[in-house]
Amino acid sequence: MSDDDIKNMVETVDVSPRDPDVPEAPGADVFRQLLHQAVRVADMANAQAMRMALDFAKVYEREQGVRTLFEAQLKQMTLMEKQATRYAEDLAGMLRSERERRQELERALEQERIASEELRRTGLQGISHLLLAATIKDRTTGTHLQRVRRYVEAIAERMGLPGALVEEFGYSSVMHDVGKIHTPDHILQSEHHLSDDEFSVIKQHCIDGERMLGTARFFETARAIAREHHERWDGKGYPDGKKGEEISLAARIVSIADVFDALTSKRPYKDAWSAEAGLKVIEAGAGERFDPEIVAGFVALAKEGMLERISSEVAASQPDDQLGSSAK
Amino acid sequence: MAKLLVADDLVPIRQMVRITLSTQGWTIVEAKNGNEALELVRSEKPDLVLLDVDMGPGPNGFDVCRQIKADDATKDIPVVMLTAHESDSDRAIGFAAGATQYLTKPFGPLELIDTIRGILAHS
Repeated sequence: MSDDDIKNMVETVDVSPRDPDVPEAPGADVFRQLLHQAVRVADMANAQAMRMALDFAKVYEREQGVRTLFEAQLKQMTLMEKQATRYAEDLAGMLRSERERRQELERALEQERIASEELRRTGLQGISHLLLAATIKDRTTGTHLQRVRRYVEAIAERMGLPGALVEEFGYSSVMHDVGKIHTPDHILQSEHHLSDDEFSVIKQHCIDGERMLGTARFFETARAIAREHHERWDGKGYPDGKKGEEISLAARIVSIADVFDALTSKRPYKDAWSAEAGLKVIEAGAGERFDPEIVAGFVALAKEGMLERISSEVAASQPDDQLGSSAK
Repeated sequence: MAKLLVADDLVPIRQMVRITLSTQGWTIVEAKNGNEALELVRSEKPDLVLLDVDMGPGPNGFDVCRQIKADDATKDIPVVMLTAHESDSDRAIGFAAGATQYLTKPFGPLELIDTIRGILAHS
């Protein structure tokens, strides 16, 4: 309400100065004064109300602002909370499936281990059959193969090869002569010096042996040994004339063990040599026929008495080896 | 290796997205509002843009998307909206603005990675 409004109101009530001709009603002056007073009070009250309304509006506005800000922040926090929860759930899910996958993998590995163990057993059984055939045919004694195997394992172990490889070299070595199953008996058991033609037939046993051992990973080392155990360090061996480290490590080891055992065993054309005499031939062949490093290891084993121990242990384990004792 | 731009006004969302996407070997560039996003799209030429809608003052995500699509130099960059606006009409606005994909918050890490992988494989 503006001041003008108030004036209008006052005029409506007609508090204009009195007409001097009209006698004044008693108390009229008091009424005018009261009215003026009332107008002033109303005026002040109005101004006060206006101020309060303005202040209230200001406070309200400020609070509204605070509330909007607060609501915006609350919304963000709620969003973040939902977001974080969603992430945690997803990550937990991923972790769970990862764990399941790993368990599955472990089961698969275990099955593979069992399968590979089965394969190994089958392989070893195959070896024993091959050996039986070779032993009957060649009259090479089971004890010869047993000793060669033990020598090979002792050498490989001394060279610091891992256990699995020592074992693989060992079982693979016993098949080095399986190719001889194709070699005619009269050549194999000849007590005479072989002719060139006969010797080329002998050489064939390395190639046949490799072929007989197929393509399975289990016989990989055995194939290399069968093919290369007559190769020489200086490249003058057969059937391929490989030299040095072209020849597989397993074959280089078997070659020494095989020759040493052949020398120290009785054969159709010769008596058994002493261990000392056999060792001398091996030492003399270092760098020519044999890998000098392996020879050094073999000589060390001999000095430790290992070769004799192996020889007597093998003899003791097979007292009924008829083929061995009856070999010519 | 792909380069991705993430525009969001919330630091924790940007961090979350960055950590998630960096597991894929992608490089992440961050913008905290619409203007910054537009600047970086032009200067960095990312392989993909992730846009929040409400990013405080300046153009919102829809505006940014429209501007990216209006510029010949940037119109082939795929845009993924990443927002708490989940209504169908907001989706429609997003696609009308030229977005390739529309993800709503809260989003999961795999969802985010799979979406982006799918788009990158097609572009």
